[in-house]
Amino acid sequence: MTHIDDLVAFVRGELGAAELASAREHVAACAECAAEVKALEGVFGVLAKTEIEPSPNFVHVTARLAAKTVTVQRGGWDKVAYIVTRPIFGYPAWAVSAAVHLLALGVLTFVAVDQSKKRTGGEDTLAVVENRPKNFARPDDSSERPFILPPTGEFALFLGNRGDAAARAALLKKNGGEETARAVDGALGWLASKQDKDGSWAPDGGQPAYRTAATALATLAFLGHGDSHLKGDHQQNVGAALAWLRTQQGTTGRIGPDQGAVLPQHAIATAALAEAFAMTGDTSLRDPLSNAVSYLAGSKSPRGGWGSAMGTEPDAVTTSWAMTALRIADASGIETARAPLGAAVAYLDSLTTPDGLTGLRDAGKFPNGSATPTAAALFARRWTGLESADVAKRSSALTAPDGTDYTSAQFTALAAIGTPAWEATNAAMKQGLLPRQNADGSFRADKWSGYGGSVCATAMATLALETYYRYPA
Amino acid sequence: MTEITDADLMLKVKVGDIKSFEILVGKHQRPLINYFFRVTWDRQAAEDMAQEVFIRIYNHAKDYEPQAKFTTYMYRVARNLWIDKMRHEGHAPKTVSLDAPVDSEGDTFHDVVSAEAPSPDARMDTNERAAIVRMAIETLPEEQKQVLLLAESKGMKYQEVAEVLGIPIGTVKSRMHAAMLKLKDVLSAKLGDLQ
Repeated sequence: MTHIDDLVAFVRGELGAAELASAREHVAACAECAAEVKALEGVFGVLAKTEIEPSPNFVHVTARLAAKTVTVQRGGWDKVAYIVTRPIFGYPAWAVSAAVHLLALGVLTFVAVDQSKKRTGGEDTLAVVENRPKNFARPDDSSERPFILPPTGEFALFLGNRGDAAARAALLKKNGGEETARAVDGALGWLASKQDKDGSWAPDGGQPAYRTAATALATLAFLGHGDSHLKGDHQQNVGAALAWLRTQQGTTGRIGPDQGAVLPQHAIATAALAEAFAMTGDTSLRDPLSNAVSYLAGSKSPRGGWGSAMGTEPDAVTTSWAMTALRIADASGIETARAPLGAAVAYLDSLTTPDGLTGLRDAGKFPNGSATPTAAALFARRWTGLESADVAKRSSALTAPDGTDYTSAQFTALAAIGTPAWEATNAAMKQGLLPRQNADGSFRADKWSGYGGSVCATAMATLALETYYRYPA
Repeated sequence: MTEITDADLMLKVKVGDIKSFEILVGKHQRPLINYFFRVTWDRQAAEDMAQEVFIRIYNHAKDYEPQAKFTTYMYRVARNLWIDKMRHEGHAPKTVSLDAPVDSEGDTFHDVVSAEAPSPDARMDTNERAAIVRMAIETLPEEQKQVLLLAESKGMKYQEVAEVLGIPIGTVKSRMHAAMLKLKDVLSAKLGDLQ
């Protein structure tokens, strides 16, 4: 029997009608060729199984970028139209030009700030955050300085005021936290000394794959103290860190690696960008933040939460980080940040039992203990419309931090401040964390240091000790 | 109802219709990203390059004439981009070191592929399978690899592959045949029975 010359072409359907009929007949009769066909089909099957899925916002981002770059091939009126409408700092050129001229005439003022100050009620729940500012202005005539957007909303105004040392000192005094100030200064000094030349932090003692998390958490620790890339004692550290985080962002918007703990790292990095943007209004951060938010929105699981990576089972802690990032981004004017929050709220609530305990992935199930998911969920829900009476009620489910888990301490303190549980939480936090600081300013390892090393541990402990002034209580 | 063809969409893109462009990107993103993934083995780089191809197509839409099939046109742009990139970086298309880490645990190709072939019903870890496929493809000569990557793409017939690469269809056929036989041998040795 003469076997078929090219079974690859047969499997791929490349044969002509006559050849195909003859080949089919042969394969049906020849066990050897039939086995070969199955093996070749198996090769295609294996190749198909290793294909990757495009990122969810690939089409959107690509179309947006294409629309921005179309001028290259255009001429005449097209070119004129482009020059007039091309984006500068996220706004059409004609608008920026008009704004600069109006500014020169002394006409443009910080209307948005006045409007936000006039707002009554002082609440900043999800339902009442206003739309984004329509007015913008340069703070002065210097073209060297970043273009600044004024913040809106009480929440964003609070973040915008974080760098105010007097306000920070008042909040420390109010909460009896003066003794933590030295610990925070020491920890920030240690973190600054450990920053690599490229602006990132290596998770020393942990796993290299967590460099994005280490860098984002260290950045948040500086930002939490009021140090941004434009203001404060560590502005160079923050500037280099933000620049590095931006180098880790691909066109899909994702910051950090595409394997392992993808979404927790991306969410924390997004929170860092969002806080920096909210604190400074530096519009160079707007697009990176907007893209990071789009990636978060696109990677949400069908259940409404986020897990370690797209397609994995969501969990309460990653979801709380993602909600933190989205909530700050929303307050700072990223329009797309709000939409995913509704389903995320429903997801967290579905994991929370009437007594206030939140399961990690299922209601009533706590594979690593109830403290962290319960605290993280309550913290996230405080920002997303949970009634203050419910916050107070659920605060009784919080577990006082004991210094062995800085992540848990951070979320617990943020969830407890301003609630009936705050006094006990604050005392336990100080008692548990302060003795664990080393003479060089770093903090001793906690239960997660095998992953994030001493940088993540120190940054997380610092964030816990900054609770007094990080966010509105 | 008549189906809207890629050529129809491109004619709309020519006059600046961004929605038609989005449809085209949505339709072809997966095979194009995977084409670049098979040459870079880096998801981010693959998406970046696929994006650059689409943007080049958008920017040059005015010059588009619906004489060639859109996918032929798209993969020509893709191939030229890849060649430009290699030329710019001053080296031939890279071959992957078998000592390069292939996963977050730092395992190398040697670590992964030196393991015993699993029993047919063993559930293979996705990363391991990807590492083995990567190793298998990287063992192919470059000319066979390029044919395979294009022919593997959904809907790319030998004739179209020949047009993209500018080689006779008979050459495509023989290279694809050789590539598949080699892949079959390597994959069956590592993954067990492929049937």
